Amino acid sequence: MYIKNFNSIYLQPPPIFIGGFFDNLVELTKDKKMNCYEHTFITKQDLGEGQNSKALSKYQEIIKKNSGKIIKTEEWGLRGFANQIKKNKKGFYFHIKFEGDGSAVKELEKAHNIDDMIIRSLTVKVKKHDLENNFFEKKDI
Amino acid sequence: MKRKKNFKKKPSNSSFQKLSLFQKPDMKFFKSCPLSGKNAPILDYKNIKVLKKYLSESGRILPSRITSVSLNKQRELTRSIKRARLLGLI
Repeated sequence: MYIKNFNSIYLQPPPIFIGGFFDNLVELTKDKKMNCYEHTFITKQDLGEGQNSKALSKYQEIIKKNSGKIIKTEEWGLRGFANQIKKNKKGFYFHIKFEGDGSAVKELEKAHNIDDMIIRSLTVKVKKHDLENNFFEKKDI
Repeated sequence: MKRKKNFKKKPSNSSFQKLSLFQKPDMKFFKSCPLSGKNAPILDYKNIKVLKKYLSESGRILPSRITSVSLNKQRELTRSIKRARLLGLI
């Protein structure tokens, strides 16, 4: 096989792209700006492992329902408080890092207020998630 | 106890007179901020080890004139200490 007319290959007109097609692509790739949040909550001391894991999965589903995306979950375990909180001395700590809207945070706080098993909770907005450091890592002996 | 050998010497030309009041002195009078610059620890409400350095024995926040923390970092420090207090970490 050899090509007779070389000019037919090299002198082809360059492909023309329609401008409107690419303009739409740029808009599609621009996602809605998602905020980064860190959420911690404390449950009561006298809960078993089964109840604690239920509570974690319950609040993870609330985030997922409200168009949130969970990045990391940490369990800090049983820790003693510096001061007594609502007549409790110890509690289980849970930490969730997620991206999402403010609507997810609202729903979380609503659910926390109703729940009796939860002592306290805190949500913090951060610019960027710090995935390297875990300050409350358990040391295996 | 041995004395340290490498202490800072005074400038050799002692006859040098100061030209003006606002001339910078050779010796440093102020410490630099320990929380800014290279190899500075991470300021966060989870990092309790760092936060405990800047508290008194009774748990109050130390003023920046004693610890020589810069103004911008002192604002961050108070914010992170108050978050840690809310969770009962400190």
